[in-house]
Amino acid sequence: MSNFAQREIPVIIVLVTGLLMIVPFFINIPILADVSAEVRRLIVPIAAFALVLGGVDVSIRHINKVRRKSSGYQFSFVLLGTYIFFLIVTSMPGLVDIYTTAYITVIGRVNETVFSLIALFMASMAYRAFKMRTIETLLFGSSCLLVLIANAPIGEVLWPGSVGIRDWIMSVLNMAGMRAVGIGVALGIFAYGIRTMLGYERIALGEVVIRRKSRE
Amino acid sequence: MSLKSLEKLDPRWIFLAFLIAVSIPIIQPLGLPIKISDNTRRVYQAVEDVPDGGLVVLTPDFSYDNRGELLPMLETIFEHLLTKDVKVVSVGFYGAASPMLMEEAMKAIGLERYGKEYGVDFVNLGFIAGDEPAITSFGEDTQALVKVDYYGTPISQLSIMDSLNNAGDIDLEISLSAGMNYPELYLRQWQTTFGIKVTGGCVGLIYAPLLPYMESGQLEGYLPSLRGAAEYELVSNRPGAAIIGMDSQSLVHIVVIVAIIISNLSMLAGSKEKEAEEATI
Repeated sequence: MSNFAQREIPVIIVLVTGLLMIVPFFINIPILADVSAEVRRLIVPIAAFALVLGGVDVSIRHINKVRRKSSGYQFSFVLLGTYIFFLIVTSMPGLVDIYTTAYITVIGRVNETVFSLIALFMASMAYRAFKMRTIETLLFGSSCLLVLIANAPIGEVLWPGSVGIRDWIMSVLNMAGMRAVGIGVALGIFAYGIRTMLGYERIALGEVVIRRKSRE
Repeated sequence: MSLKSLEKLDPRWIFLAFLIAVSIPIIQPLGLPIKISDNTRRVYQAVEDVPDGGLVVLTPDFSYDNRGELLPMLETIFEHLLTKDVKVVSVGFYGAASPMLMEEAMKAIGLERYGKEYGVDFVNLGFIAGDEPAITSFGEDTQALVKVDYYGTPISQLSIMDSLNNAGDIDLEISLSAGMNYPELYLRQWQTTFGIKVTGGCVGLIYAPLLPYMESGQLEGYLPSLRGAAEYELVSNRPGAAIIGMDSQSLVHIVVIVAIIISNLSMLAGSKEKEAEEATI
């Protein structure tokens, strides 16, 4: 593929699409607004297509893994079996209940279990890592402890004053920090968007993949 | 056992303490008092202020990993909405689990208990892929984007959908969110353009970044985590799973606080011992 097709066409598509989103927000041109709305509606089928594309890509990778019997191919086998199962039960209208039951009883419960385990690791981590060795860690740790005490009902019972301190930490210190972070992130996203539209930022367009492939 | 030796405490002791702390209130509830914050009262008032015949969009933007934290919130807010003369449209932009969780809440509460009918007073539109652009499209022209509900019924057969053409028709958006930026998406795409009210609740992790939006009045309050759900259950006089969970949370917080204090005391004991050894040499 020529350099123009590989590098310039994606940038042109991003630039035109980006302008279609931005310009109608500031200037009232009815035809542009209609085109912009139509493009936004296209996002839903494109996102659905991306899911299909992702599914095909995952299948190919794991079929190859099973065929070559490379390390951990048994897991790939399970993945493919699950994938085919869900493909069948979601494609046939009469099997929706089986899909829902399978999703809730397998994926749902696994999700809940794994997430619950995080609480145990957080408690263990708090013991091992929350050492207040410097002034900074002392300030950080003390504010964490105060918020932790006040957030639980028992904290209010044992020490009613903790609520006032927690509210001050959250509404003054935290608020100031969050505002700064929020405005900083917004400016960063704006700059990143402009750079991507102008072709300076190519990571979003798969530049890393292109480079790696050309090295190979 | 010296204080210093606790520095190398087997983490399984902490896990055991954790298990005991979670279990005790389930066997014997402690019934600790829960103070209702102004923030929760703002969320409650935002729901109360929806006019008769008004339209509320409820978006469960979470999955099963956050079910324990956000499902009690979804159930209590949904039940509160059912007691009012309002129409409720539920739609998920977060993932495939959103409509299932909404269905779970719907079955747990029961529409018929409040004389409500599916398709007339409530509809579950399912999951719509596409994230922020999908939210924008939903807000701009709902009828063009949504063709069927979660169960495959065409929306032309659901009378509730006649009153929703774009986000301007929404009286209140309630987002129950596990994702960092979801409340911001509704503020950006629906509130900025159509001026609608936005409120809801979220997991504890993302509560702090949302505080500036509450102070500026963009968010009509926001419920933080299980604590927020428990407060909402109290303020709306519907005690449920969140209040029961708060006792366990209290004891677990105590375990974590004690663990942090012990770990720092053992560190101090260790460093003092080391200083004494160096002075002897």
